[in-house]
Amino acid sequence: MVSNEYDAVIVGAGGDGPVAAWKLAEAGLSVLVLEAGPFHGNEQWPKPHEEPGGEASASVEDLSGELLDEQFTTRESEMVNKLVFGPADHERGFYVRKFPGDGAILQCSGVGGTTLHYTGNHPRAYPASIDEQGHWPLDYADRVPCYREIEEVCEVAPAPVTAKEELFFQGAEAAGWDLLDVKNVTEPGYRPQPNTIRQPDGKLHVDGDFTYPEVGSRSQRK
Amino acid sequence: MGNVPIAGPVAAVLDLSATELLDRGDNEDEPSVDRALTLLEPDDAAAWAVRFAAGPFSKRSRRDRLRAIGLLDGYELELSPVSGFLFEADAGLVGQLVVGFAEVIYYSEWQGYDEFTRPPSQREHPNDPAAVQSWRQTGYPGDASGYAALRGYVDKPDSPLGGGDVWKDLDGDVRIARDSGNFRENDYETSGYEEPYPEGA
Repeated sequence: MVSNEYDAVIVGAGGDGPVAAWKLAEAGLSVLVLEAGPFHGNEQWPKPHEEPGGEASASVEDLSGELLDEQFTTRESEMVNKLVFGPADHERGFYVRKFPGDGAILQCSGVGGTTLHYTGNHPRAYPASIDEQGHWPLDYADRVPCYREIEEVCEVAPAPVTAKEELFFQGAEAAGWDLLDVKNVTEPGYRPQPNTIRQPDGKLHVDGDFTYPEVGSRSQRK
Repeated sequence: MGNVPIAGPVAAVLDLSATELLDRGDNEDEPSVDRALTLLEPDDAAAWAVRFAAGPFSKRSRRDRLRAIGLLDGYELELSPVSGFLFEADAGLVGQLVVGFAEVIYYSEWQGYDEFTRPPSQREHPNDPAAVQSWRQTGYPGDASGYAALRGYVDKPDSPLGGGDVWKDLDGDVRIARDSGNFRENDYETSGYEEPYPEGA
């Protein structure tokens, strides 16, 4: 049920909007979050890319793991299509984004925003990107307590290594880069991602090729 | 989804950039048709045919090819504004196509759908490894909820990262270990930073 008035309206339910909504609601304010992209795994929008669905969702009862598994698959090209940076109705086109120079930013639209393809990577901003740019109304140091709080809530920890990362770390080390073990990155180097995904069970350790398709006892080592 | 063949136009743009690189004298290595020939496999086109067809881009060294792609950033696409739409682009897009589109689209799982043109909720993907070219080529058995692929965590002596049993030694004193450890909170110093896109420049 959407009211006519709120104390605060947050535009965008990406990586940051919901956190802002949470803090404001915790402070006792009424908050509305607006999102034009799809909300996967929500029974209010059973076909988020084909039909308008419901008007709003305000209850955890709306969340469905079954629906999420069906809509949010591990097929990459399919998800690139579903998470295109624009409204859930793709016929309405993409959002325009301008940035200096060439490059591709793979931004995602929808509840969760770009965290949806961000593999749980949860780094702090580079201190220089705040302190050396002039247009920020706050210093990097002001953000550190916020980082600490959210890192604790999200249980941020070093990401596990698969064969790909192992190769990357080996190459980075051989090329003479330093391993960074700090939270505030001010020097070039390499490091595991600060990650918000729960760490895998040690039983999933393999030394050679990964095993499939069932993660059964046959493929596990101590 | 339309089927737009882009291999020809992309190759033509890359050849243009490779020619431009040579015109500017910015190449580090001499062009050689042998580079194109080394990529051949037994069932590919005959060497004489490749010698005949190889374009300037394929004759450049690997580093020069990258330089040529870099030149594309400088080609602005000139389009008159149509019905108020903002459209700005440059040929740098071609480099992104070359690097990204092959992996994300061509080698993706799209061939495995029973019927690709249906709406997302009506598409079936039977997850048949034989139905997808890249899966056949790599022996990938199809997607699953999880594979056993954990190698461990980066570990270095005197670092808070890593811990527990060492499972593998990498280069130098970097290793892969059982425990993740944690990152260290540190003071920071940013005075050496140079802003790449200064405001008002």
